[in-house]
Amino acid sequence: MIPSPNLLSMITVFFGILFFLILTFLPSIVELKKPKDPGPRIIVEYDHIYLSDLENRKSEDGELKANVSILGEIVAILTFLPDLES
Amino acid sequence: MFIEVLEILFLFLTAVMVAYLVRHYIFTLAVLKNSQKKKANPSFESTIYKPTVSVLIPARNEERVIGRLLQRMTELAYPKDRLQVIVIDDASRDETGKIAEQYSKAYNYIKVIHRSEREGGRGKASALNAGLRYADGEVVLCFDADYYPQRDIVEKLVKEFADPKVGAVQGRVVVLNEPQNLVTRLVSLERIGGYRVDQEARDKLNLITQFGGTVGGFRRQLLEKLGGWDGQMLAEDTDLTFRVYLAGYKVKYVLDAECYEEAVDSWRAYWKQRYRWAKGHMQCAFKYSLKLLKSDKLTFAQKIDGILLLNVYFMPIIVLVSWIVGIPLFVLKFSQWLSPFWAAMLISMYSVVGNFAPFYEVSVGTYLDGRTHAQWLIPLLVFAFLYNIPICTKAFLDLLFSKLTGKVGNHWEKTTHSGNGNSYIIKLLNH
Amino acid sequence: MDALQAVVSNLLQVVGEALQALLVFNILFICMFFPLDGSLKRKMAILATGNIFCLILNMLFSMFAVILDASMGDFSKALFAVLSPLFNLLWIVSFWSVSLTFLARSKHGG
Repeated sequence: MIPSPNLLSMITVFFGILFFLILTFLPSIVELKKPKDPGPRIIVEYDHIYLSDLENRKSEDGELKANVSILGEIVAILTFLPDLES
Repeated sequence: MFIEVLEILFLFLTAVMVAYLVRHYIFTLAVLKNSQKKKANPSFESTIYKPTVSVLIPARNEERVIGRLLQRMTELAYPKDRLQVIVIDDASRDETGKIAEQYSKAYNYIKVIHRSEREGGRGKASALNAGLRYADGEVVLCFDADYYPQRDIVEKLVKEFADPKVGAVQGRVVVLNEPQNLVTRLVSLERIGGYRVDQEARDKLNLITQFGGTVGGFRRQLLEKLGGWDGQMLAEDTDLTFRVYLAGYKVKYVLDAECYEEAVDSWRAYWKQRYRWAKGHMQCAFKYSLKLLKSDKLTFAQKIDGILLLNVYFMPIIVLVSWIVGIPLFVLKFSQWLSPFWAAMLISMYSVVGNFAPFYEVSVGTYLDGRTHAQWLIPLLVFAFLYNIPICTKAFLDLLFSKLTGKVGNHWEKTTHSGNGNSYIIKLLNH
Repeated sequence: MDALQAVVSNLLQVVGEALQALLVFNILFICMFFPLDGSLKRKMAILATGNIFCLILNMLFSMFAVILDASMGDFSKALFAVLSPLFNLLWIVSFWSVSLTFLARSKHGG
């Protein structure tokens, strides 16, 4: 059996809880109203050159094609080697 | 006697919540530790490994978004002579098929499969299986129609297959229409917690990394050996994840293979999506829990993580039941062997600390992403969590009902894409 | 001297009542916040601020519990025991999220 609470005490508790909830959710309300960081997150497109872009380029110069394939091998080896600066 | 039974039940429920709490914290700490390490150089083998790839794109009534994805497919950096894009027009009633056909005519590596009303519309698994029949790449990747990947995502994903133990890969999903409204912003936070922390941690700790159904793929031979996607399962991605692990392979998570998605933008759509995920996961839980425990191909840690992963959608129900049991227990007063102090500690644990863990996971995820104010919305995730309680409860009851009555109610409720993400793509391209 | 003793005694009482929340807040904060990149001074300042918030808020919660107890008796104790951790969850998560912004600024030299 729950006894009937005093009106004044209940009003005090009610407004106290309301104030607490507003305070707690204030950062969320601020960010929703005036978003400083709404996103979306920028995805880094790509962090190295794609040789396929060079390979796909139409070229009748055989030397260019040979250079591209050698460059491909060099890049592959360089990527494999440890970072010497670290 | 009744009180003692309730106490034992309450203790059990609290123990389950503590298990998830510990899991969340371990994941968060693992990711924090890993973020401080210098990124390892890729292996030589993975750098030169360029298998033939088939990309499957199931699409049903996706006219607002399919063109954007197909245009992106033409911009991929992967060598086009090693790439095959297969669009499965799954009995669409709009212009999806026509848009896909236009691309198919312009680019010889893009192919369209049109499914009739009679054979199509049976869910994503069915559509993917139809596409798989035409795939001839060594690797099969999947993208949902509303996605927008990086140009180099194929290279980043397929290089992991240089390791013969890798059976599947999963990339990271980033919400594109995040600024749209409160729902999209909260979904984005959930995605950050899931992909920046959860998946990354599971991968680094060699646990069960989940294939999320999109932005990922499989070795085609393995996929065919496993019988493709199971059309009876609502969470066909989770189902395949466990089949891959039980076959002795692993799923590799590739954090820097990123793709934009268009998140649900209304609470109704959120409900439908999560309901499907919850019910699907629960189906998998019933199907795989025992198999997981008996398997000799998994480590002990993987088995524990697998069980926790399978049963994650039971968590909101467990919290609800613990409130129902715990509150009256405290009011009615505990029996002699459980003092009020310990009772208070238990209540505190599950309602305070236990629920903290996912918030901290999301917070750390946003921080590592370099976000500055997005985390101010994290307190609102409390409401999202409360919303998940009736979703998961209904999913469980519907599943139970269908099991008891024998009625299979696995109706695939497709997520509708409004194409609102298109405007953000334009903004990002001009960035 | 008596006044000082009374103040100290009251403070100890408040700390005692807020002990659970203080324990949870400090353990989680130290485990989760300190490993992040950022200025150590700023982290310490934020931790100290959080402890003060914790004491103030739990003192307020206790006052409300007294008000409820006067009106509702034993039921209020049960209500308070259940609601207090939930209220603590709300303010700690909110505090944590704002703290990350201040820490991020220190990381970027702000």
